[in-house]
Amino acid sequence: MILLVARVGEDIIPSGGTVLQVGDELQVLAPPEFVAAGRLVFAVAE
Amino acid sequence: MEMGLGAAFGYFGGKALAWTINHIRLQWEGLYPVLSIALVLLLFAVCSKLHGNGFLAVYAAGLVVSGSNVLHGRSLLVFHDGLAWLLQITMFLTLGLQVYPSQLWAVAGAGVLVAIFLIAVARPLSVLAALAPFRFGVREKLFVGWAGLRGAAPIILATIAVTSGVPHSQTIFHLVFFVAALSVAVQGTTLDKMAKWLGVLQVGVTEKNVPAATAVNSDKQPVKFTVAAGSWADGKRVMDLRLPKAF
Repeated sequence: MILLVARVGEDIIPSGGTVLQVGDELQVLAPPEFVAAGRLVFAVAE
Repeated sequence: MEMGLGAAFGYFGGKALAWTINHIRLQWEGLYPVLSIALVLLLFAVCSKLHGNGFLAVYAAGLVVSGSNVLHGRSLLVFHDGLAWLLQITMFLTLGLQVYPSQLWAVAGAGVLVAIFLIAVARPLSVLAALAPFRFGVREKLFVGWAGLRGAAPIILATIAVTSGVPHSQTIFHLVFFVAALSVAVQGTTLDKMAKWLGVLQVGVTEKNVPAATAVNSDKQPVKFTVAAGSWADGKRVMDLRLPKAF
């Protein structure tokens, strides 16, 4: 799994200890079938 | 008793180490490797003080931590990998300074015979016996037998004989060094050829080793989420997201 977290005004923060805030942008690289199954939505946005 | 205590310290110490790293909230990422080193030294010291095997404890703790979901795991891995390389180089340099080339020639004849026996007989037989319960093919077992003899451990064990004042310890040390050096020369330089010859060479890399920059060009597609107010991810650490470990 490759996860990038972007925060407005800052560089990409790769640390797993980064506490997510409202407005943070998560970009996850995933295979298409994984996306189609909606599993990322379940993992992140539920 | 000593080994059991070391294993127990390693398991529970590893769990404690992973928990501490995940919960201590240090401000700088660069402090986490320092913390991990300090905890490992503490684990070694406490275990040794209680007459357990400190080496086994820190080794087992490393296995436990590597199997855990640890904060800054990648940077910790890179740091400890680099440190291990540095210490190995230092160790070989120090061991090399203990060797007198003039004394190596004196043990060359016996060294060649010992090396042939170890490489061709002792090591393959011990590997076949040790791997008998596992479902490896004969070719894989033969490759493991070819891959394992060289290294610093026998030389370090030989230094114990020297420091303990065992009779002929200098001869033993130089003999072991000669055999190890010969093993490096013969086995170390032919590993890839042996792998090809035995048909155990795997082409490609695992997904874990693919850098992010190259993975962008893979079959994966980027999916973007924005953390909304009141969403589950709001206030959570990235490592706490319930993403699967592997696709």
